Amino acid sequence: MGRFLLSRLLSLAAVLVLVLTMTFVLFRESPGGPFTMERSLTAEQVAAKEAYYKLDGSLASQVGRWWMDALRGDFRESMKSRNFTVGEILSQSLPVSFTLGGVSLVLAACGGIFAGVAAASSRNGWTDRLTMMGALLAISLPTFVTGPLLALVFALMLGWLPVGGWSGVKSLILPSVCLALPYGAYVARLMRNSMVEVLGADFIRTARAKGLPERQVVYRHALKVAILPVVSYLGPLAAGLLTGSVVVESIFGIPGAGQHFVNSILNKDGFLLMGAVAVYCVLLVVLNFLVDVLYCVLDRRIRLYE
Amino acid sequence: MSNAAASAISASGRAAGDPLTGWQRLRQDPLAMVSLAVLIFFALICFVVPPVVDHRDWSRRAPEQAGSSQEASIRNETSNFTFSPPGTMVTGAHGVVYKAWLGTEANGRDVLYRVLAGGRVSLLIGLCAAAISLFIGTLVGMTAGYYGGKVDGFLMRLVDVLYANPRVLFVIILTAGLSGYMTAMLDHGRAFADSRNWPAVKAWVDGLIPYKRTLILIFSLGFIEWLTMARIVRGQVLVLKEQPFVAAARVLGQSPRKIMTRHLLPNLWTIILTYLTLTVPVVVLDESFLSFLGLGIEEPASSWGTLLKDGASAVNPLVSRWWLLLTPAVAMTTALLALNFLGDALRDAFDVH
Repeated sequence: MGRFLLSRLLSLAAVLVLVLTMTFVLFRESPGGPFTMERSLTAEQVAAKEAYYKLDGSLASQVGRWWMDALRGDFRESMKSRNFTVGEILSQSLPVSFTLGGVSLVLAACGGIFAGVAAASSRNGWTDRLTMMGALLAISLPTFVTGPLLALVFALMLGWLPVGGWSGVKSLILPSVCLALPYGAYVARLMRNSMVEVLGADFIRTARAKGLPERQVVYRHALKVAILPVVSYLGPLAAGLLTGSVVVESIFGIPGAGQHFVNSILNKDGFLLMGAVAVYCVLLVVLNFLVDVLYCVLDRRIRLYE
Repeated sequence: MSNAAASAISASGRAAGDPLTGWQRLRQDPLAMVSLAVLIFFALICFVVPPVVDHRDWSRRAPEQAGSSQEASIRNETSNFTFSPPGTMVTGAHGVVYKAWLGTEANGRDVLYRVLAGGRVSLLIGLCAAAISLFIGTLVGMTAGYYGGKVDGFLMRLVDVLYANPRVLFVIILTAGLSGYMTAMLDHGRAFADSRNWPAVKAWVDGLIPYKRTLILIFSLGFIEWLTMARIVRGQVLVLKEQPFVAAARVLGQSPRKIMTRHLLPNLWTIILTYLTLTVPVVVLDESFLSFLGLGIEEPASSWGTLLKDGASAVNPLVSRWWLLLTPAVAMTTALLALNFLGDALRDAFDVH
């Protein structure tokens, strides 16, 4: 197990280095960078600016120096919001994004698992059909459709919840539901199919034959095995929530890291973009790795792959 | 595509009692057929109507009259008289009076027209990017599957590594990076044609400039979405290459390239078609995701994503102009659902996994 996890960790680290270096090179080399936009600058001024932002010298040395700084935890100064370091900007907005993402993750996982189990235990019944139809619809509707619609209905027409902003628990409900909906639906479908399969297994028949109550059979015995596909989906789920939260933050006007990510591209703020991409990538790598560990712990058969 | 090509590995000649071929099974699936009809209808109206009608006829010139009190209040609150709810009689820029079935937006442009024009861009990007990704995916998958060994290991490891990343993050970085290159390329092309005195080429490049963002999106989405395709094709090639007809071709001394194009590819068509159908909705979703954030299609061009963005910003506590949001939402959801249903039906019919 140790070797398997180590090789996973190494390949994930390779992804991190690859993506960040690629982003840096694309941004540095792409025509129309942060300095070429201001056409009035003379060559000396551009050179001075490049030296100030440590963007002088060969491309390899620029990338190298960025990595040295980044490894020390210094993501440099934002190129557009002067006097703010990228670290400051991100450390203010990341807790907001984490809260939203965390709540959505719990909602999607718990809601999806529960709905999937409910659908599987009434296989081909009405609960099953309705849940699966709803799940299909929720998967097909992107968050930027459900978000404004939810806001329209629950905030504007019914007036139950705030339209947007970041002011307490109430303002968290709509965005997190909106973000969790498609992923919860996917989890529900995974859960249902795997549960249907497991419920037909011999050990479930044994459990039933012992006279265990159905609830105990499903939640104690079957769930332990049936949950594995959901666990392996947690990695993509986390990735989806990360990128999805960019849109949800923009719909509901939430001051999270997503807006900085988008604005850094629109403003050609290279260092802020690098910082945001670094945060997203590190998060993904860590989450993917945690999912691998979890999977190893839950499913002993994975030792076969060593 | 014939039935023989459709059923991946089958002997020719079918008796009456034989199981149905994939196409026959597909034709008996009502949901798939309805989806197909919906898609054909969408494609027809999106690709035929916008180029034919004059969009200036379909944009509101001035308010008809004071109209209902609701409209008057809209005017007072926003001092913007060009919004009109669905079903209003509207005078177009050339004086043509028509009924705006789905209302008009902030600049008086007809919402129905915009949804059709936006659908054209969205579906075009979806089709082209999916085609690019299929090409790359099939190439990589076939190479990996056929040669196996180290080639396979390297290519599949690459796919795994790329899979670990969120696609959208990659696409955003790629679009942002390619944007500058594309502008420079078009500028160079224009200057080059100018210096050589080639008016036709210059006009062609000029014609491409408004579609710059569309082109960028097609390329960057096409370069990202091939991963699933590569895996699927590789799996199928691994099965196919053990078949006697491939061994026979190899024994007869055919080159690997010929075996791939003549023998393997015809047996992969159904898979390719299935995944084309399933990739298009993914691409359309990604494109509208980017456009919604303002990183994709830009004004004055529109796609379903930009329309949804406009619609979302039109939902506010003062006046909710729901028709701006609902129309593109319904159009996009219907198209995506139809594509997904059709793709699932194709997958079931040809039993691809």
